[in-house]
Order: sequence, then structure tokens, then C-alpha cells
Amino acid sequence: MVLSRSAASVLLLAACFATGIAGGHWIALHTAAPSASPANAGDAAVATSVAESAGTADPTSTNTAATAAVTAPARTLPLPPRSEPIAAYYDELLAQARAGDGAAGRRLADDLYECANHSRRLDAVENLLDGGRGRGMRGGGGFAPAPGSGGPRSDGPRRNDPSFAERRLEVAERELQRVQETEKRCAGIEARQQVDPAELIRAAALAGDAQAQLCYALTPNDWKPDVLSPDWVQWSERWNQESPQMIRQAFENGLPEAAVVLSQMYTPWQPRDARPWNGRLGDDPYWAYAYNLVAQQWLGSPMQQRGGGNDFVARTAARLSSSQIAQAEAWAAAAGQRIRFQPRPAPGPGMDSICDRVRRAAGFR
Amino acid sequence: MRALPAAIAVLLGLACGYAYTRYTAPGDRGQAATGASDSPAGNASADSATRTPRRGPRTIASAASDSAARLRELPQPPLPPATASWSPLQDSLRRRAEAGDAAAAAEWLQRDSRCYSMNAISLRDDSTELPTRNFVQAVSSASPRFQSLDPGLPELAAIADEDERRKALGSLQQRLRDECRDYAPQPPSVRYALAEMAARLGSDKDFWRFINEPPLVANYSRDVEQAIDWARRAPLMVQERARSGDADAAYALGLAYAIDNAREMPDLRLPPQYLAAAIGNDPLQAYRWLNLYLRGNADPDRAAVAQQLIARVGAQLSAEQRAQAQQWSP
Repeated sequence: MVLSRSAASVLLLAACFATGIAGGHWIALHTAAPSASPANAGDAAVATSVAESAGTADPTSTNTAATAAVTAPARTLPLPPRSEPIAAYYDELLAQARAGDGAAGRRLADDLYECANHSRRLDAVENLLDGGRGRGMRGGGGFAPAPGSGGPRSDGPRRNDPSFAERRLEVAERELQRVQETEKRCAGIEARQQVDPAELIRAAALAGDAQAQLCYALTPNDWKPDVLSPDWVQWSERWNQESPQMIRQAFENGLPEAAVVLSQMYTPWQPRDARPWNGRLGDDPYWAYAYNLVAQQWLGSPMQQRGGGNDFVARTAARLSSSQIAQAEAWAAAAGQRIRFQPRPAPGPGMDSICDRVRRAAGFR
Repeated sequence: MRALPAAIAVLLGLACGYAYTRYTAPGDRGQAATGASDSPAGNASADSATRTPRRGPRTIASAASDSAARLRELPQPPLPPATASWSPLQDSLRRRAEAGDAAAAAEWLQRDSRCYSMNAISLRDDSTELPTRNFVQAVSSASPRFQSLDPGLPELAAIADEDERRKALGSLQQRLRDECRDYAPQPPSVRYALAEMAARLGSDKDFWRFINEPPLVANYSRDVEQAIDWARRAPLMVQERARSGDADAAYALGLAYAIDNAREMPDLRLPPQYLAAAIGNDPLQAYRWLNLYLRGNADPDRAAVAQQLIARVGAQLSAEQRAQAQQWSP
């Protein structure tokens, strides 16, 4: 078939137009402006921080060379005191968080978590006052029949003990007081809350806040308690990919508690282990030992007070050669010089948020 | 000059393509993508007439057949290479299971679960005299996990004479201890893969055990990959069964679309609802499946629950939606 000259021209123009459309589509896709959502801001942040730490923070080799610390952006503004009502500083912290301030994001996430869990804590108080006959804060939300949820409760005989009942009442009163304080702090927040605390803590972690990194990596289901829901599935898939790197970054950013967690992650899980992240990075006595050395150096006695610290060192060292032990010691010493570890925070009334509790708990073996 | 019209056409095309792609509502594209790939069965109900009333049962049916296709597309959970475990019998059961013997998979699971429970009890035992206090407490509890330690347990627990009962429980504990000597928990991936295999190839009991008692660990996430897989797979498995006319599956789906967890309706005294956790609420879907269940030979207890839920979700629907849903079939 022979096309007339004008038909050929029309076809040519149409082809040019179609090519242009395809090209425009491609350009639009590849030059899209980044979204302002905290999650996407976080993606960018993690891409940067992962790139910075690639091959350095990842301790899969026994290289003792100094690694480049992933430094969190410096924060110049002080965080508001915890006694203040959240509504008084909500907008300001949210704006700072959205501008990439990890500490502000973590603090706001912490506060919003506290508000969201207010009713659960009230349930827990009622449960305590009820003599522990209830089903606890989660109302039995775990996977009941599967292995791993521990043995039967054994406080039956103690229930009739008057001093036990008295102690429980004291605990309930203290907790009730805290719940009432929370109620005051959270007044007016529900109506203006526009952000998901879970996404906020993730963004804070991705922005480089060490405590947020630990908090996000160790308590995924506290931030997304609707376990198994479609939303949780999406959240957990991301968390599963990101969390080990988060712990490494928290370590590089100076949280010595992250050293305990990393040591546990390189230690195989056993039924007695209270830490479900044990063994997450396999069974590697070298790194379990090396991170534990750092933890002992910077956290010291609390690990030993809880017991198991020295036993663990002996057990793990027995699986290493003397040269490996020397190498691990050199690596731990270098890490201590390279990283400016933060001191363990003193417990007190200002240390009651979920991230504070996570940090405190993570410091024990 | 002859190239000028072509250049103009290219530029116009570029502008149109760029503008279309950049300024089409991103939500529309996102939703389409979610519906096509990511959303689990529960979310597939986002296509339902509740949210898009123009769509009728035909769309639901095709969504359901999409679910069946998506279930087939899901890769089977990976089973790590076998290594010698704490028990040669377990190793032999696993070999048979891997060769397609669903009964062997189910037996492996029951034995593993039994020994895990015994292990949990033994870890807290503070005496050598049998039965230990922990064991007695465990078998007296209402927990199905401990009740399933031995089929004869209810009979033993009902013995009136205390000495005789203790003696019987003591010998049971000894027998279980002997069976579970040297027990070492297996990786969550092994347990999950065998449970899925039993559910897929085995009996109805194996299927419903997988749905109602997911082989997962509570909280955190030693087995987050298995939990994610279950949350995607279980709704699709139940949907496929319900589509093939299984009344139990229709009831389970209706319940799951109606509530998020058993605590929402404490008066119904429902067992934990893991499927409901994995499926988003959708009153119209709940109304349809529960009505479908009631049109069959419904169990009286379940029928009572279904009626209550129908009344609850029905209040969120129009009279027209209710009338159509009462005639609906997948």
C-alpha cells in the first residue's frame, strides 16, 4: 500500500506527538517533587544515612578500621518540659519535625503515643484494682496457642497474701496518678492530631535521632498495635528491612544501649531469652562479644547486676580464638574512641515515655 | 523548515504527557495500584459496593476470583534445609511432610507444640516432685494450648479424689517429659511452612487450625515474615473456601468483615479473631456473607452470633443495600 504524501505527513506528526507524550510522561515521573510527608522525608534521610554508613557501620567483617559515624543533625532548640500540656507546643514541634528535626519528631511521637495509650493504661489500672483477673493491657491480643508466649502465671497463691494486695494497690494508685497527669497533658490533642505517631517515630529515626532509631527498631508493634491488619503488614515489611540498620545507626550515633541490642542480635535465641530480637542477625560470637565489650565499657554495672553479663562473656569468649578476642577488644577500643557515647540517663519523672523506657530496658542483658 | 511541524508535535506531546502524569490525582493512581497488587483480601473489600455503590455483585465475584488467583500466585512459605533436630521422630515426620504427607506435617506440629508447652512449664518448675505446681496450674487453666497437651487430660483433671488425680497427673507429666526430653525449639519458619502445608493439603481441622490458631509467636517479631505472610494468605484461603460453598468459611468471613477483634463484642464470648484482625471492616460484605451463612444449614450458636452481627452492620446500610445483600451469592 502506498500512502499519499499528506497521509504520511500526518502519520509522522502523530508519531512525533506520541513520542512527545511518552517523553513527557517519563520526565514527569523522574522529576516528581518530593512529597512533604514525614515518611517520604524519612526515606530520603535513610537513603543518605545508609549510603554514608555503607560498609562501615555494618559489622559483617572483622575490620577494625575506624568507621564513619552517622551524625544526627544538631539540635539547637531545647525540647519543652514534659510537664507542659502537649497542645501548648504541638504545632511548633510538628513544624520542627517536618523540617527534619529528629529529636522534635521523637518527642512528639512519644507524646502522641502516650495520649493514644491513655485508655489502655486506665484499663491496666482497673485490672490491677480488680486483682489481676482481667486480661491485661492488650486484652489477650497475642497469638494464644503458639509457642513462645511463656508459661502459666504463677502468682495464684500470692493473691491471698495481704501484703501482696497492698503492694498492688500502691502500684495501682501510682499508675492512676500518672494516668490522670497524662489526661491533663493530652487535653485537646485528639481534635487536632493529624499525624500518625508511628510514622512520626519512623521519620525521626530516619532523620538520625539515635533514641528514635532504637525506639522504632525495638517496639514495632507498640507503634502499630493493630497486628495483622493491612496497615500493619505494610508497616512491618518496611520495619523488617530497616530495623537492623537502625540499631547500627543508633550505635554509631552514640547510644551504648544499642551495643547491648546488637550483641543480643548476634546471639542465638533460646527459650529463656526475654529478648525476642536475639539471633536476628544470626549466630556470630565474634560480634556478640565485640559489641558486648562496648556495652560493658559504657554501661558497666547494670548489665552485671542483672546477672548473665559475665556468664555471657565467658560463654562467648570460649567460642573464640585468642587472636579473635584480641581483635574484638581492639575493635571495641576503637569504637569507644571513634564514637562519642551518651551517658546513661538518670531515671526520674522526666524518663517515663515509651522511648525512654525502651532505652532503659535495652541497656540490660 | 520541514522539521518544524514534527518538532512542534514532539513538544506538544511532551507537554501533554508531562501535564497528564504530574497533575492527575496521585490518590487515584495509588488506589489503583493498591487494589491491583498490595491489598490483602480484607482490603479487596475496598472495591465493594459499600464504598463504591455503583458496583454490583458481578464486581464482587470477579474480585473474589482475583483473590483465588492471588492465592495461587503467593509463593509457598520457604522451608529451610533440614538438619538433625532434637528428635529423630520429628526429623522423619518432616521428611514425610516435605514429600507431601499432610498428616505427617500435622503430627510434627502437634508434637512440636506439645513439647514447646512442656518446655515452657519445665523452665519455671521449682520442684522435682511430680506433678509440679506449674504443671497442675497449666492443665487446670482454660488455655487451649495446655488443654491440648494430651487428649485424656479433661478426664484426668475431673478425677474427684485428689491423691488419685495427682498421681494420674504425675504420670502424665512424666510421660510428656520423656517424650520431650532434649526438646529444642525449631525455627519459626519451619513451624510456619509445615502448618501452611498441613492447611493446604490436609484435613478441615488442619485448615481451621491454621486460620484460628496462627502458628506465630506473640508480639515483637521473631517471625515477622511469617506473620506478614499469614496476614496476606489466610484471608485469601478463607475467601476461596467460602466461594466454593463452605458454610464455615462464609461465617468466618462475615465475622471478620464485621469486627476487628473479639473484644468489640464481649457478650458474644468469641474466641480470639485473628482473621478479623487481618481483614478490614466492611459492613456490606459482612452482611452478605452472614446472610449467606444463615440461608444454609447454620449451627444454632453461630446463627445467633450471625443475627446479632447482621443487626449491627445492617444499621450502617441502606434498605436497598440490605435487600440486595440478602439475595447475594458469590
